[in-house]
Formats: sequence, C-alpha cells, structure tokens
Amino acid sequence: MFIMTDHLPKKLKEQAILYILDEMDKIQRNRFEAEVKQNILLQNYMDEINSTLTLTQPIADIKPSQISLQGQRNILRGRIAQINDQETSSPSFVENIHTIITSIGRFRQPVWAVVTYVVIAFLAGSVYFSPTQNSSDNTTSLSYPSTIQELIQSGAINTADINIGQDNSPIQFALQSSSEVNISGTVEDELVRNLLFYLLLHDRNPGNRLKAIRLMEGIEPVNEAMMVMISSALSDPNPGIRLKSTQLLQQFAPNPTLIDACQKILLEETNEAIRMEALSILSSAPSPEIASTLHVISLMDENDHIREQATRVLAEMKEMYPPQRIESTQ
Amino acid sequence: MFHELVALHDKRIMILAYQLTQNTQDAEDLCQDVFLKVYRNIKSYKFKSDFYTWIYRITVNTALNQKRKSSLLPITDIHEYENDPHMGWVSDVGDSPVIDIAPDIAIAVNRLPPKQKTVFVLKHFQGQKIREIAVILGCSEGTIKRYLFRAMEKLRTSLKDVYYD
Repeated sequence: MFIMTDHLPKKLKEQAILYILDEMDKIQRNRFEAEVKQNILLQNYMDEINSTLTLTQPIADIKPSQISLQGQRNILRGRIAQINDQETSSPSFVENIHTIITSIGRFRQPVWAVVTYVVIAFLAGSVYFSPTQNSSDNTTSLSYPSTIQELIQSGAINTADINIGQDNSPIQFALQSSSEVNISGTVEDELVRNLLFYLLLHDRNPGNRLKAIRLMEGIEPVNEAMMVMISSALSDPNPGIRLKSTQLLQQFAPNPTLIDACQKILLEETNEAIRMEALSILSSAPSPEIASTLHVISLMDENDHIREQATRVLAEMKEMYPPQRIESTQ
Repeated sequence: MFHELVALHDKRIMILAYQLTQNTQDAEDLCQDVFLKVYRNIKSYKFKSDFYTWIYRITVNTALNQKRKSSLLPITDIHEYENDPHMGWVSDVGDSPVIDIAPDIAIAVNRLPPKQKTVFVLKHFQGQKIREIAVILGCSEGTIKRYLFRAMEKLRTSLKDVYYD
C-alpha cells in the first residue's frame, strides 16, 4: 500500500497536505474532496499523512512546568543584571573575590561567615596567588594540568566550557589559552572537583555556574563542598543557582554552620523557593536554637506555605523539648 | 517591565524552543538567548508586526544559527539530563510527567533538515498559517509550501514502519 501511494502525482500529494493542514480555501477544498472520493490511492496517502501527524503530536504536548519556567526567569534576571553591571564596570578577578568577601561580610552570623571567608580565601585566593611548582614549564604542564593553580595561572580557566557526557561518562572541560586544554574526569577527581568549586564561585557565565552546581549533585558530602555550596547559596547573584545550591545542601547532615546559613537564607532571601529549601533543611533537624527564627518566620514570612511550615515545625519542637528550652531561645 | 513581558511570552517561546531542539536543556538555553536578544533589541521593535511574529523570528533564527554552529563544532550535544531528558517539564495532558516519545518519532523529526523542521514545527505544532510562517522566516509562501511538503514526505517515509506495525 505504501509503495503504491508513493506513485501518486506530486501535485496531488501537495494538495493532500495542504488540505489536511487547513491551508485551502472553500473552493479548493470542495474540488479536492471530489477528487478524493474517486481516488483510493489518494485516500490511502491521506491516511498516511494523518498517521504521521498523529504520531508526532506528542512532541507538541510537552511543556515546561511552572517551576522550570520560574527557574529560567530567575536565570534571565541574573543574566540581565550581569549585562547591566558589565556595562557600568568590568571588575577584575581580585575585585570579584572582594565582592564575594564583602557580600559575605554583610551577613550577621559571624562564626560561619568567618569559616566561609577562610574557605573561599583558601580555595580561590590562595591558589590564585601561590606560585606554580614548575613555572618555567607552563606549556607542557598545561597539556594536562595536575593542579588548579596551573589552570588559573594559564588563564585557560576563564574560557571554560563544560561538556557533560552521557550517563556515567566523565565530565569534560574544554579550556583555551595559548593551547587547547581538555580535562576529563569525574567528581571523584580532585582537580575536577576543585575546578567545579572554582567555576561555581567565580565564573562570570551563569550557565557555567549552573552546570557546575548541577554536576556537584554526585559529589561526596564533605565539609569543603558544603562550604562552597553555602557560599553560592548566600552570594550568587543568580537566584536559580542559589536555589540549586540550597537544594544540594539537603544532602549534608545539619551542623551549626549549615543551620546558621539556613536561618540566614530563611530570614533574608527574597526568593520563596530558596526559603522553602532552607526551611526544609531546618525542619530535618529541629533544635531549640532555631526556634526564634522559626517564630519570626511563622509570623512574618509573606508566603503562606512557609509560614504554615514554620508553625508546624515549631509545634513539633514543642512536643520534643521542654517549653523552657524553647522559650529561652526566643 | 521587561520581566513582565518575559512572563507573558516565555512559556510559548519555551515550548517552541523545545519543539525546535527536541531537548529541554537546549530549549532552555535557546530561550535564554532569545530573551537576551529581545532585551538588547527591544528598542528596534517597530510595532509594525505582531510582537509574537517578531519574537518567533528571533527564536527560529537563533535556533537555525545554533544548529549551524553546532554542526561545525566537534563537540555537539550537551545533554545534562541524560537520565531524564524531560526533567522539570510536563505533558500537556493534566500536567502529568512526560511520557517518553518513541525514539523513532523523535529521531525522524530531528533528522529533518533545519528549515524543513522549522516549517513543520511552526505549521503542525504551533498552528501557524503558511503566510505567517513566510513572514517569520522571510521567505515566499511558495518556498514554505515546498519545505512543508518535503518535511511531510520525509516523515511519512521514516515513520511508515511505525504506523504499519
């Protein structure tokens, strides 16, 4: 049947497609319908076209979820803000570090702020300023650098392009300086891990930062990763990236630093989705120390769901702890 | 103000971007590029054409340019959601999670030459009239009809085994 319809005149096939896709006027339609009645081959061809359209229809039914759309809007806001910032100034790497440190310095909780400062200074500042072990042999060592210091000094890291392979295949970084550098590995590799940390905290391209944080999903929940994610959750200009960082913090066992950070987010973050994630982390470790924050949130947060959730966690805590322990923190 | 404009149009553009790229990550990237272009060029919009026509034109041109560039690069696809290609997206039917489209069908559509695929998407999925597609792509209606015919014929041939099963 299929072979036979292939032999239909091209003009008839064209007309059949235009008829099915509603691109004929009334006169043309009537004329064509008369032709179809007499032509079985043409009827078969139209069945085939209709089947083709029906089969492909599910592609048209896929749409982004509201959450996905909101995330994209947030990323766009960040990118536009970045464009506007770049138009007014083009900060250097050192200025970027300073901005991050300054923004962290604004936060009220001193303990973890200092810790975060130290981690960033260690991760970004010190590697940037420390000398390479073999500075006279930069070109050869760059063919596959062994440390992130070599990458930073080569300038290649500024042109990072992350390529994520299929399934469990390695992450690939395509970098360019005087020569092309390709780095491949998994998050188990120290260099790859450090490169992801570095990109998350410093890459100007929000797309790269987003890829970096997404790739950290599989990372071992060590303290260093937690600190980097906290820094990102608190200071990234892009809400989509802050959201993803906060989501990933769920994998860490709550400790005082993480709890402080989550309280900070809950009290100061403007994005509701990020506040919800922070509250979710706090809910997993309800302790009297967070009671005052939860109390404020249960009364003041503009989001109904967050207020209700905070009230619920507070109620649970009242069942778990003696009233004086909770009251003493409020 | 601009972000209100985005909120008004982004869903439709994102859906079009997905239909053109067949990959949610690529669609999101494309959509970002489109709205950045709109942001940069909004002052040049003359209100002579419908806003949708203008933004559709930017979307299809950006998609066609990206396709052209990616075909020149050794590294092409960046699929972040290999394990779940539709992560964060839903089916139109009752917001249920996306049911995987049969690979044969997705491949058949994806293998269409870029312009034929664009015309097919705009006509079949987006319900545009041929004269509107001609404006969006800057071609004559006759050219659009030719692209459409070739696309339909290729799909019919590719999918014959599927619908005769």
